[in-house]
Amino acid sequence: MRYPEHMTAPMRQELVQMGFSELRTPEDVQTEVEKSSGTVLVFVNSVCGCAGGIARPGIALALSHTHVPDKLTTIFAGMDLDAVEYTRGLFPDYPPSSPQAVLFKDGKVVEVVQRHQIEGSHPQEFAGLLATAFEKHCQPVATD
Amino acid sequence: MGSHCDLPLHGFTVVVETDKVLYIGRYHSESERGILLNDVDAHDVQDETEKLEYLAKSAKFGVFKNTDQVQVPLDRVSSVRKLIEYTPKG
Repeated sequence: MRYPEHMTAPMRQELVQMGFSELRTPEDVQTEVEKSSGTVLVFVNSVCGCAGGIARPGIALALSHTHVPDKLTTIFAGMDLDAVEYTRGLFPDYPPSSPQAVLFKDGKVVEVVQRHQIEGSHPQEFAGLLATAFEKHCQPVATD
Repeated sequence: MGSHCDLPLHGFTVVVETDKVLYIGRYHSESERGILLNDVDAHDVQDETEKLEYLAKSAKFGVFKNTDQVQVPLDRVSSVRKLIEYTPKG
């Protein structure tokens, strides 16, 4: 069962405004993540206030880090059902989680942050987890 | 009047330990009937070593639920802790 669109729209918009592109279908995931070179962050968005409400501002903070992924993408748990199921099939060792942040490099999963690592923390702590992963796997942001 | 969301553990992924079974799931609420968990992995404990290994693995990867909802009677509960507390050091 999907959530009402009007309920999730502001949460989607929060990420789009940060530069995320939305993946609505398995084909989107194949093109933008699986067949993509470089680093791609997939954020599994969630209506959950306990963790989703921490994760989104945490991502905003992490994106001001010196290293960031080449591409930012998002899918919405409980909404983009086919895209979410397809994406989760790319990392079967990890159980379904929402929210969830998954970093891919050249189409392979290199880091996963699960809901239980986000809930109850501060956005700065989640940003710190992401920043550590970005520094390990992503290129530094070009500065002029 | 408070809501479930006011409970300190509401929404957290917790480990509820009983004598023979570990319940790892999202804490919803507590009443005289027990602790209510959602999206639960109920795991039969073999021994202490296996239990700690299972918890460390769950803390690293997350929770593969095998039950939608469980109410654990309070008189069977020996401890309730957040799953994140079982994350292996280093």
